[in-house]
Amino acid sequence: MASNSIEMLNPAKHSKLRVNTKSYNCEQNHVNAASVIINELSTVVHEYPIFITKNNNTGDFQLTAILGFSNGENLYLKGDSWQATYLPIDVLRRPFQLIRPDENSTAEGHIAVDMSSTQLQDKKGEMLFDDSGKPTAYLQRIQKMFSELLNGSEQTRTLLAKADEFGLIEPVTINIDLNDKESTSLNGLYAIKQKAVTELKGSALEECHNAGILQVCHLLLSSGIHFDKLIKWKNNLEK
Amino acid sequence: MDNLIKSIIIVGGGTAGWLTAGIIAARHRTRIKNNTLTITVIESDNIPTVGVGEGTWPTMPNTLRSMGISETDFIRECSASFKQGTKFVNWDNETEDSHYYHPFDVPQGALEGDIASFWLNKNFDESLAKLFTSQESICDNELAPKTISTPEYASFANYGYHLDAVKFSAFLSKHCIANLGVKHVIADIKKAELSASGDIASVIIADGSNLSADFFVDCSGFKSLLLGEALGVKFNPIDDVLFADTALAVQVPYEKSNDTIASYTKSTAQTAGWIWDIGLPSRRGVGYVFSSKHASVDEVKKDLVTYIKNTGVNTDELTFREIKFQPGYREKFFYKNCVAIGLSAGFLEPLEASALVMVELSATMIAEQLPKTTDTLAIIEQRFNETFHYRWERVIEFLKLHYIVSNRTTPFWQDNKKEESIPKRLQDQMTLWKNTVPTQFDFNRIGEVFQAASYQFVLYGSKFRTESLFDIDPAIKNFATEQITKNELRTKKLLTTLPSNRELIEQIHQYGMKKI
Repeated sequence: MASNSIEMLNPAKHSKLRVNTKSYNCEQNHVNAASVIINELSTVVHEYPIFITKNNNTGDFQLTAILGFSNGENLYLKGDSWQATYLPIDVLRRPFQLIRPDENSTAEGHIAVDMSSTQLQDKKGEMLFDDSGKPTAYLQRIQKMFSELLNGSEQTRTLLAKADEFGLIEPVTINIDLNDKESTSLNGLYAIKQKAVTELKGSALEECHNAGILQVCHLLLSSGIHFDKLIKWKNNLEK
Repeated sequence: MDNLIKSIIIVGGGTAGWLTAGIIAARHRTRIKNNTLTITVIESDNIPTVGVGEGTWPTMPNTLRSMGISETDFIRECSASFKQGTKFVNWDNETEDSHYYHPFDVPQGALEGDIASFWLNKNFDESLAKLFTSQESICDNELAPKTISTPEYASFANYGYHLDAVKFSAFLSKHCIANLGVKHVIADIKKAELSASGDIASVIIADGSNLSADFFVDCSGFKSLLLGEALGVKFNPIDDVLFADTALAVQVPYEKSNDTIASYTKSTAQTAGWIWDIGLPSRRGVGYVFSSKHASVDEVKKDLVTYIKNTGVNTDELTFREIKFQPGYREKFFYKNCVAIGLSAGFLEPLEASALVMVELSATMIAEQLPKTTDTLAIIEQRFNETFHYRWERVIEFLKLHYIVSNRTTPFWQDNKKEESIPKRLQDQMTLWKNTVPTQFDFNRIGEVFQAASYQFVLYGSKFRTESLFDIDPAIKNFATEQITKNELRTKKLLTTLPSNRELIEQIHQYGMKKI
């Protein structure tokens, strides 16, 4: 969704721009979900509950890390810091985004920056371009992230579509009991259907194994335990 | 036992024939697999299908799902879009613009409280449909009933389809043959042979072969080859109640490729009838349904051309097709070992898109109560006829209701209000409704085609008002006020969530919908 504050990155225009990478407490990070790609799944699964959701524009399945229980609630944020060792690339890339001609295009796309982000400064922080207008090491890391995201999203999409074909995905509603009587529920989530995974046989089992689907299923199934941590954080906030 | 019913021949392969085949075959998958039931559709490739039945009821999604059809495939292959109701334009009078919706959603809380009484009591400016459903606002904003991430057949608002009837028939045929074990014979039927008992024994096709079956379904269209011609069941015309007997139909291209696809059928009142306007993704289907006693084809064509021009489309290249019909239905739909479904059973003007839903209801009853032996045919015959007489009569009365609450002045409309043209039961209802709102007690059968809510939308969409003689219960006031607030919140949220009807159709063509 392009809003007015999005500008295509340009060495001339953005030569003075700096990004404060020390603070995560900015508007863009006050979200209760972040997109995840399979390449990073084995890492993020140790710290985040990961579910399957649908892309709003295509309806395709994608992976999502749950960060909070209501719109804008990010329980991983504590002051300026982020309470996890590993951050999803989808968070690290901010305040940058990739502008592509359309959703399914694999064309390279352009990196754009959200000028409304409070992470942007002109005194402190990481420079984007050096004096000769070449990308700095920082920006090169960002560029690498986008190329990972681009390939990773496509791999994730294909793998989840395959898992769906094998009937391994099911819709779930998560009801969470918080302090005292309060409870909340998360909708639009899908999870791996454990029973269907254990019932895979013969060539289907082999195909799922070879395509890496089984591994993804097991990782996703194991990530649910991080909900307990989120509930604890949420309950502590309210005390 | 040699009196088992093990084979069914369906004569005619239009939408009615293939829908019937699909509904029966899906219900009896196991018998077909075990070879204890065969279903054969005999279809001529010389008879063009009438193919103007382009609007469905919200029953269709479930019908398609029960046949194991992917909604994505259906949308893509039948040029289908989502329909959420009908918008009646200028049905009240000739001088000022007016409209009302008959949405597919029932009012929020309709079954729990007498919200219509409350609405009448408060004399709201907003319509009943606007205050108690989200659908009027959704339609006004040209939005779809769901998003691309909504699973197939699920939705936020109740919906049916607009579709290309010719493509739909071909699509159903392919599905029935490939997935449901329906047999297909392409041949012209020469005649039907009767047995000594007067049942249909077989049909003789063009090459002289004799195809026999235990049970026959007549889907041969207006001709009614089996029920009408072979079995001599009489036609019961109702042109003294519903006057329309001709349609002038035309396919209209969109002006621009990104024009909105209306998610409702637009029905605009005219001098001697009304114009339907149906938005498919690729084109519109438009037609003027009229009474030939009240207007000539030339007069009607002039008005139709004006209507189309007013929507910004050049009419020079358009091909107009005249379709004559006699409104009415057969005295019996089921007789001996034969049932007529579709146009062969009867036809009414498409004012509330009742044609396809009657096919679905008929085929479903046959599928559910398929006689196991020939001994039970007479019992099912009696039940089927009773059920469908009731349904046809109710549909006719509901269509007639649209006319009698109008204040239009031309002879066609004035004649429609003459007492002798109004069925007795509808007259009684109108007397009751002077002081009592329509409720489920007026329509208390299982499988009523039109529920009380539909009557409320039409009655109170028009200027007709039920006058309550007594105060309404404060509990009803509280309940209804709560429903209005709930509906407002829900509507507000949906208006920001839902894509336009065209946007969603394009997304479905590009990405498809998921089953879950």
